[in-house]
Amino acid sequence: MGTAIEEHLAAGRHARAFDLIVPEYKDRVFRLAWTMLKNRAAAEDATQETLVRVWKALPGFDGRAQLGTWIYAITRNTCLMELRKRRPTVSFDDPDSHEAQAAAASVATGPASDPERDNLLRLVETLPANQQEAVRLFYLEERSYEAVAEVLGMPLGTVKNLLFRARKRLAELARPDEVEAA
Amino acid sequence: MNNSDLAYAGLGPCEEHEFELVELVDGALAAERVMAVQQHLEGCGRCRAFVHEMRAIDASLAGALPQVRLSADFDARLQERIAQLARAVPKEAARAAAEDEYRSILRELRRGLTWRAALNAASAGAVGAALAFGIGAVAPAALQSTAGLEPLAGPLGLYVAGIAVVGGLLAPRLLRRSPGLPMLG
Repeated sequence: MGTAIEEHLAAGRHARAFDLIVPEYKDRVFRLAWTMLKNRAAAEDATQETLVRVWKALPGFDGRAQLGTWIYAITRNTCLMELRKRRPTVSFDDPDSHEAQAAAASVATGPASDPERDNLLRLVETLPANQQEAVRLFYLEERSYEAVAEVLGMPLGTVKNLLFRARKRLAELARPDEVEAA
Repeated sequence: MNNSDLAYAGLGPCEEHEFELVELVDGALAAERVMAVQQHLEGCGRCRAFVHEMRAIDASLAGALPQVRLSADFDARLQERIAQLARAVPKEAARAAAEDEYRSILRELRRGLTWRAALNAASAGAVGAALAFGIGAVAPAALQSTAGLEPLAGPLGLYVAGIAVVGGLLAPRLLRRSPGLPMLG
């Protein structure tokens, strides 16, 4: 937590603290929301909702948890509520499902279609959810293990292990014979 | 990957080094381990092939995963929502104060209601007593002439008093149960 934010919170200047929290955390909140919701507009809405909740709850923040941990926990809860609203549940684990293909297509940005990139994104969708989150955040957070660990609230070793297994699996799946078999 | 390493592709790295090889690719391997792992790589085609695969996957993922950004008006929209909430907070406080005031007024009214109910009960009791007295005065003669009974003039005073007491006790309860203040006028 930034010192200035801590000082404002300790002095009960919650509005001032919030003014500093927004630029400090909004992008990471958005990236975490995006990795969970896999949709840009929904992630942006969830980011707004998260920060509004932070604003409302800030007077009750007692500092026992790290501010970042607290904010990311609110983000995850907000996204989980959004995912529950989307029932019937879309399974991203089945790469052949229409929803999974649509989801893979939705995350592929850029005007030109790139079969290799699209195939890789489809393979990412086949990973377990925690590996997907770790992989997406790792590349959004400029390959920082520490940032991923902080945002996901996991020990550093767990994050390293998730990333290791995810990319090893992707390498296996990306081999031509494995793709044909898959 | 050179041609000799191609033969190792897909065989997988040495198990004891695979985790560190990924850290090496990520630039996160502890400095004191870098030299040892690189020395191992020089002599191990399987691990070199694995590092090559990891670098390719790393580059592909970095290029494929979209670098999402918040929209330009995100801050403005958030500020607007917060401003609305900030305006709503005083309104809520005012509403809470008004509700307190309303409850306080109700309490006062209930207190007033009790006194007024007592007065109403007293007057109802008086009316009841008068009616009972009137009936008591007429009924004995009528009953005597039709059934041959003795006049009730003796216990009449007790009847009147009983009706007045019962009326006085019941009337406040009935009035308290009634929801409307209008009956108080």
